[in-house]
Amino acid sequence: MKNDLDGLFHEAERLRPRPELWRRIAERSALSPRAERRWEWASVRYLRAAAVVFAAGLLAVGAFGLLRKPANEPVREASAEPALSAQAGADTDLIDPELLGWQADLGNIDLVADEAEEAL
Amino acid sequence: MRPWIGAEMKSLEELRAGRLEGLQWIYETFAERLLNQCYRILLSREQAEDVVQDLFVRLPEIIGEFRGESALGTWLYRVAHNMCLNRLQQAKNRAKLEWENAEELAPRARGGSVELTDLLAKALAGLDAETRSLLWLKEGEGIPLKELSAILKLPEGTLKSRLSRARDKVKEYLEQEAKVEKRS
Repeated sequence: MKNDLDGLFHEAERLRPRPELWRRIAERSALSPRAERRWEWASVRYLRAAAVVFAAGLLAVGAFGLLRKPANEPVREASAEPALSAQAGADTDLIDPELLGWQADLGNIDLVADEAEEAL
Repeated sequence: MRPWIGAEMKSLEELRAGRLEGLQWIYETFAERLLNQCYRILLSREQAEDVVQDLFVRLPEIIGEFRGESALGTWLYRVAHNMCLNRLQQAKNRAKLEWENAEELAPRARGGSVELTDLLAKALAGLDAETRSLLWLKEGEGIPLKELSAILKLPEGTLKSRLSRARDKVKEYLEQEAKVEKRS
């Protein structure tokens, strides 16, 4: 009979907590998860850091713009004219006088050939 | 030293600091055992779940009463045991019943208003709630007498004699059941 009693307890139905039981407990308890807190603190830090970086970036861009504008513009104006004359010089360099003479010779040869043809 | 003592201490610290993780560790470690203890006392899954839920929701408040004189599990068994007995007492008061729990629950069990899905539940229904708790913790959970004495706040000698009487009653029930089966 002792064995019967042991069997009765060992074979007895054993309940397992349903998942919603923990959900209800977690909802009703006034406790908060550590992970959420860490996320809150992390997000506050992140936002602060992002705001500082953004402000610093804006200041840097503003300061850079203010410093660069007056110094650059005269340089650009001054350099515009020589650049144009250099371009013109480069264009004239492309026309080789010797080549022009050779082309003129070719033209003369063509004229002579045409005249010979007409004579025939 | 229990292997989970470090985790137990850590979870207690977390719980006292108001963190849910501490409560979750205690729940994952003890909820099933507490649910079964409550089920064997109350003989109803729904009521057992209610008590376990109530216990864990209130745990952050009442954990201050745990002084570490016993294992956390022992203390939790005691809290669950008391909460179940209180619930039965309240139900009894509400219904203005003067009978003992066993007399009250056994006919209800047979009538089907209380969930008695297994033979053990039916056998335990013939015992009073305190004895059901004692017998389940000893035979179902294998808790030694010394720890049972701490849970139920009763001397070991008293527990031994109560256990002996409870086992005899259950055996008697099983014999009757066997006879009924043979006849049918």
